[in-house]
Amino acid sequence: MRQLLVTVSLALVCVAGSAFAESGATLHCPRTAGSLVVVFSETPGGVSGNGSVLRIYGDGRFTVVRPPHEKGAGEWVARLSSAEMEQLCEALAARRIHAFDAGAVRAAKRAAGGRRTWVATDPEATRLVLHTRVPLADGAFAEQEETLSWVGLAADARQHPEIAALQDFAAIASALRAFFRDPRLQRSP
Amino acid sequence: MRGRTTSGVLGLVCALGTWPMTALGGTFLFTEEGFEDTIMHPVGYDGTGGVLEVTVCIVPGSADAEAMVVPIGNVVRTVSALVPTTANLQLGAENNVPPDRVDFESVALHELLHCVGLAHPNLGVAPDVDDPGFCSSHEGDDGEWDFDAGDDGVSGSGDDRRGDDVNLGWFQVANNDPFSIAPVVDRSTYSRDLDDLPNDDSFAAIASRTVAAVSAVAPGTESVMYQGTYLDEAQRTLGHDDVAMLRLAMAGHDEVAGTADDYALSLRFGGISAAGCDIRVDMDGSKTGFAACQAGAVFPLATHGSITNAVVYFHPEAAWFFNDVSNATGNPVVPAFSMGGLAALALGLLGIAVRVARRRA
Repeated sequence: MRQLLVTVSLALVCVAGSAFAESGATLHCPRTAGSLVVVFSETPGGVSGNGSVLRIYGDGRFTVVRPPHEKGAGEWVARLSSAEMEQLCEALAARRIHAFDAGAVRAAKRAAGGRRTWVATDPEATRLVLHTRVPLADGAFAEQEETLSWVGLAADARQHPEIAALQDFAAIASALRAFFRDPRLQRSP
Repeated sequence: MRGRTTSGVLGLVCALGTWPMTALGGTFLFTEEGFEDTIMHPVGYDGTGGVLEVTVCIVPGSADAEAMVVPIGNVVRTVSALVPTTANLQLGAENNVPPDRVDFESVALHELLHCVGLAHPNLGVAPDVDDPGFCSSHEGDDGEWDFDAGDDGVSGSGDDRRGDDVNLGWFQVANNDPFSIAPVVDRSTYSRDLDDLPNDDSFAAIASRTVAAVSAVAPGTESVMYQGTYLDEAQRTLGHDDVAMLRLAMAGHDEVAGTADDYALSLRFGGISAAGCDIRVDMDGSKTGFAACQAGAVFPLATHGSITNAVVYFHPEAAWFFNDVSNATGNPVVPAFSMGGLAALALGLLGIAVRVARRRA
């Protein structure tokens, strides 16, 4: 796991994104036990109902709820070390994933033009919920919840390597997806 | 016994090259990739008529390869038979699927139909779509969905009011009935143009179970290509819509049934093999979160494309149920055969006779 996060962190640094909203918001990565840092889910297109849902809390605890159509359905729980949490937050911030602008990405796709001659059917709907802090005039911050979603993320990232925001979202999704089958997970009591 | 007799009659009708009864509007693969007006054909079709044989294999070394043999063999036979059915959803005690499992055969049938060129009749999982049951479409010039289920309140039926949304579904011109099939399936009897809709219909209807419920159709009828399956649900036979779309493609590049470029799709099961395969079946969790067909295509004509390569991927961590009952010798595909069906059959044969006579004249 640690190795995975390090790899992701290192890979994150350099991509300049164009399809980002410029709100001045920064990623908020609270480190208290009850605070949600990330909610990540992927819902397959071919089956009705929800997909797996990952929740990572500020103290490193994370839960995975596997849906009924998967082996090991139910809630599982494990914990990240402090260093791993730090790396995760750095990775999310480096990608500026909280500023992902779906409308801008769709526009970039249209601008890229072209018709795709390969297809991957029944794509997943990927959803990521993060928290941000927006600076206020008086120097204080307002905390906000940001929801990113995309259908067919892997296929679109493959088709459009020139859209940095898609690459960033796909890279983060790939790293978070790995938590669904993390070997440390135990059945939730 | 009745099932066997029925199957014999159906076989005769298929041999004559038509299928006169119930089917409805669906879509083709690659409409979502910018080829809205394109009819897709399976791998190997180049405009030459005849029997088009497509070989399906299980990738050697794939997880559950042995367990996939019976259900994939069943799927191959089901698609080749081209028999449209009603009441093709078996739930709970009606099937042999455990309550906590997903029927592999049903999902494989859906994905294999993708790999020969069909797409979803419904919107399914799409951006900013809460109700997956509306007909496949694009948002139109305003860039926003227009979802109004019409007076019946059922999304996907013919009275949906969709504003400037662009229809992608093919419908039967005579009746916009997704639960019946035209006597002859080609461009003269199916259309995507909403101006061709009959009566007061405002959008293409799709064969979902909810539309069936308000259409006096047998309960539990749904197109195999409708996106979204459930636990403890078996859907192992084709709907009329599925057959209609396959037959529409089989009318060939000229889109006229009964001409030299028509083909008959014949799937062949190559077993667990790496050689001579047109469509491969594999368990690979890195390719899909559940199940998917990944396919490439070429587009030799503006409105026609052909699959060039295709793989069906399944996620090994899904709670699959592998049906171990072969349909090779039984009566797995028994269409509803009512008086209405017989009348439609007669009309279909009459239609063929008229077309043949005209051609000869």
